[in-house]
Amino acid sequence: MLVFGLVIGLWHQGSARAEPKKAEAASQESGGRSGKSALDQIRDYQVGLARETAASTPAPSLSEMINPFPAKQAGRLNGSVYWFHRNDNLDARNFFDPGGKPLPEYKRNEFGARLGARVGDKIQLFGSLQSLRIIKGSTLLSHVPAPEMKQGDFSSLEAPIVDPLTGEPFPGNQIPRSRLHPVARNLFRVIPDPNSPDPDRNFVNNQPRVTNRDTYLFRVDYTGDDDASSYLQYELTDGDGKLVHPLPAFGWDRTLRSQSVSLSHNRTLGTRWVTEGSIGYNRYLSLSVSPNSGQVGLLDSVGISGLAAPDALTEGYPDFEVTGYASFGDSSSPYKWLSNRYSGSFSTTTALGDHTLTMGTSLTQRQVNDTHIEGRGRGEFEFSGFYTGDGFADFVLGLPSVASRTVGSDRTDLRRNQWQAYIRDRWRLSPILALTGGVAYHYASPYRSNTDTISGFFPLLFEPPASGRIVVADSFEARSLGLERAGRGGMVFPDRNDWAPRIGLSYRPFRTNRLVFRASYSLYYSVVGSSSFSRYLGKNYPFYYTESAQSPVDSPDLDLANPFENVAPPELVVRGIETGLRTPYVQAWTLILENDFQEVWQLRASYYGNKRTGWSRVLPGNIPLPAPGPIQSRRPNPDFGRFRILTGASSGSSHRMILSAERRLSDGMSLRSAFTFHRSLDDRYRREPSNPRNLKAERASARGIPIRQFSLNYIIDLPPGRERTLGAEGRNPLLQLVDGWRLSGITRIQDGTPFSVFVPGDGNNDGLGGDRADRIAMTPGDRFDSSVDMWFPVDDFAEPAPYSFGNSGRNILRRPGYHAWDISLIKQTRLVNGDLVELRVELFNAFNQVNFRQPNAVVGTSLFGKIFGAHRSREIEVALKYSF
Amino acid sequence: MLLRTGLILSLFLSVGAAVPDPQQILQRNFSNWTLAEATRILNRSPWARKQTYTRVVGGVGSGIHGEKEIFNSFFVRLLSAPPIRRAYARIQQIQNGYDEMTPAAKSHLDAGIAPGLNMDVSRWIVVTISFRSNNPNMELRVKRFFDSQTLETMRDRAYLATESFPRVELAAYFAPREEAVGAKFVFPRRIDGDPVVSPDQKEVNFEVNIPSVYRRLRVNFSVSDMLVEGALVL
Repeated sequence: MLVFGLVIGLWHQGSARAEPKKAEAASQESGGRSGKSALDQIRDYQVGLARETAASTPAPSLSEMINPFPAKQAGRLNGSVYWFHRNDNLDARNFFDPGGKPLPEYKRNEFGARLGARVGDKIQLFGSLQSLRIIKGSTLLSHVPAPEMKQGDFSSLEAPIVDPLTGEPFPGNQIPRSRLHPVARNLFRVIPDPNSPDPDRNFVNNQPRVTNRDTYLFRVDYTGDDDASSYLQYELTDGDGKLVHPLPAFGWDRTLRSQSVSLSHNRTLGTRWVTEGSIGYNRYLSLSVSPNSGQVGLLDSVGISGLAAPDALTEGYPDFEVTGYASFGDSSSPYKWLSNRYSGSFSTTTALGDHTLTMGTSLTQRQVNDTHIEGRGRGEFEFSGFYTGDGFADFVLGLPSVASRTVGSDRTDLRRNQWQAYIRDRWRLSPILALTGGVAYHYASPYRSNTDTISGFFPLLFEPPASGRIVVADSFEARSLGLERAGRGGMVFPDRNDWAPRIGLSYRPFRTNRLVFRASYSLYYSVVGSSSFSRYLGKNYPFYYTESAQSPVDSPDLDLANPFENVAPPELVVRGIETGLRTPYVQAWTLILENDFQEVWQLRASYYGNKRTGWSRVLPGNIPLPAPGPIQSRRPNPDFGRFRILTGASSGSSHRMILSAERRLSDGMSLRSAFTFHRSLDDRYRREPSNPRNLKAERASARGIPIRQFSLNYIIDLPPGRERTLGAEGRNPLLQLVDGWRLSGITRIQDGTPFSVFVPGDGNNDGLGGDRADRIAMTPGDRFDSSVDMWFPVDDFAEPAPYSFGNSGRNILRRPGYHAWDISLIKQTRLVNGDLVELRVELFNAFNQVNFRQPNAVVGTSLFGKIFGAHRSREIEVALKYSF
Repeated sequence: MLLRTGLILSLFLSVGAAVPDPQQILQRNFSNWTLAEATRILNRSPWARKQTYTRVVGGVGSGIHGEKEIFNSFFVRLLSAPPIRRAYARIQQIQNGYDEMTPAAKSHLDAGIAPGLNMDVSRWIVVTISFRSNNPNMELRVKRFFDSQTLETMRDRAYLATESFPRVELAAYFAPREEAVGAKFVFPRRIDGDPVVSPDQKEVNFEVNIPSVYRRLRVNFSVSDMLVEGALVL
């Protein structure tokens, strides 16, 4: 506070100007009555409610009567205390919750307080506390092996379990106990037995998910006599929690701490200049570790050689992915993200005739410190069922199809500087036509490491040549390759060509301000974020790298006890960012026609289009063509394993037509509704492309975008039809009971979003997952009835012929739509002293509509086409608030 | 039974809301207005518009500092119109216990109120805007915006429009001195000798662009509603 006061004081000391804008205004008025010009009289006009807090003041206060308002918020000291509560006893049953059993536990308490105060006429204080406590029992469904399978008894399966040594089925589908792999035996203890009769979803984990979070905010605003104002704000968030894994032996313990402070100052210079400067600092820490972390010797006890936990924090189980069954392991532990952001900005606006000019600049430094995001040092193993016909049988025999591990430290320390400068002009061409134009220059340096542990592969191509090699940043070799342009600790060249123009117009064709037409075009940049850089920069040989070994589809070469010794040399996975990565940009254009009518209504028809260019996506490299046999020897460069290259080659486009109507609050009712028709195409596959040599085939409907969406947002005061403001009910007890009710809500109805159909594992043996299925038929929609056990015609899809790509496109199916009404009923009661008590009941998905999640989309398994989850059923929240 | 209960409730509600029409209120000396009548003139009369934009904060939880229905209200008034200033004056009277005062004390208070009541607006149309929100961040942002503007920078953002003059330029701007009245926008009554607003026109439009809330605030005042005994009161 002392520093804040000093800064403000020094700034104000420099001000010699008293009231320039008032002086200028007055100068336009010559003469007047009673010694004061007319404009001076207007300027000085006040109602003078200084005594509004006097004891004789009736409730509500006079300022509330002058500016009546539907919520409690006025006075020199105001605030509220609130508590929002949710409880599973009030919830409807989720479609997939097992009948006859109590609902998963859910207790959510959110409570807090806010306080605003005015100190004199110049200082305004605001503080708030918000606390959240959640205990949420999950309904995580998974498929676990039957208990007898852990003894080698697979007789419950119809499909034969093949003995990979003989190529013949095991008699009676019984794997001899002597063949059970010792590592598998060690891991049976973390694989639970089924606890549900559903043959597909035979295990339900209802462990509670825990979240605790406290947020503190303090802000002081200062307004000076000299048309200057400032504010200082500090915010602290502290939290911890526990996330649940589908299997109870695993999960994540999380810690969060975030702090930010900002100081901003506004001042007017003369009559034409308005300036604003601000500085800010933000610090963010997120830590997530497994509950198995800290158990020294746990990884060793599993019995897989070649794996090591360097410290107690990284202890835990390896990750196991078993096709057709629940995956398990302590993946993503530990995860630690620590970042700092320092920022400063300055802007000024001035008026010159018909032009209003705004100029500004900002500078930001971002730091990522001591960050670990991999959590894969304990190894990852895939069991695809290639060798026995069943993924778990492969696991029981200890025959992984893929084994990988990381070597070295995944610690990341990154730095980036960003700055921008801009100028914008708004030009009033005529009373009914205004043009806007401007240009901005952005520069964001690529993230660079400050720990000298950066290396990359050169040349970084999809098919890396045999002459390619790993180069360490800042080395002599790197300089000889011209990499000094990337700067110290960098592997990506700066993009210094980011100019962003914008232009727009506003036109009132009928000389009234009811109908307005607006159009605009702009280009803006969206820099590649720190998470991409930390994932793909500085995680290469010799500092940190992934070794992976892959067994051919037709011959099990890997043994789970020694998976990295049987394959020589280990495949060295390379990650990198293309050196010429440009800043992604978006060209956006809008057309808007809006019309006000009947004072409170506005209709609007708008079109928003955009084209995205140079967006980042990860391109797999060094990928062989589909073929039988070992993968490694078939790679374009067999000295290395798979490449993962962050490129800026993705693009997309989006077209949105929105028809909306808004009714401002009048006679106690307001509403906003919108219908959106949205088409969006892009080629951003989610993890890996089906065929990396045919990326055009990835162009399809964008993920997560419904074609049609309707939304409704409303507030209705009850009894309906008249405007209600606080205090209007007076002190009549009957009116107190009848009046003060409010209904509000949000309705959302939308189409389903698209998804793709895949085959399990790496069906075509090119070393990549993400292989899509063949579409062999196209059942018309009207001839197929969707159900939870078959959402789409599963017979339309099949696994492709061996060693080939599937012919189905990306995102060709749509998941179920979404339909929910969230409704709140509120009762406000004013107390004798003018304070307000509010009781509210909120119903989320009030009509208990079942909204299914995406069906299983992996062809060839018994789960294909079935739905395993639903969005929330009806939930009820109650809240109590006291405002003063 | 249900019908009878409904009728009783309706009666109670209608009694609670019974405030005369503004034209009726104006027929009496403002010193006889009730508080409800004065606030009616300030908020629901031909010289006052209130625009409230709402938003419902979705999802489970406490919304914005415990508020889930967000109200952003702009109170736009024609301060140059005598009814508005009379309403303010009456509120000042009520605030100071005018009705129970001695004649001497009344005279003293009348003298204090008179400059505002009789201020010279013969050459100006004065529009005021005050703002309230139950979102503290929004209220502070809008306050900072109005506090930091000058006549020149506001000239591009605010204007009056009539059928004769599609854009009447701002002549003066005064940042808020108190919340009850708010920021003052001053426009000329005549341009090149012609009246900006005349009784034969349909409406007067006021528009201001407030970037803090990403909104153009548009307000329309009906000219015919502002005629009192055939004369335009503005």
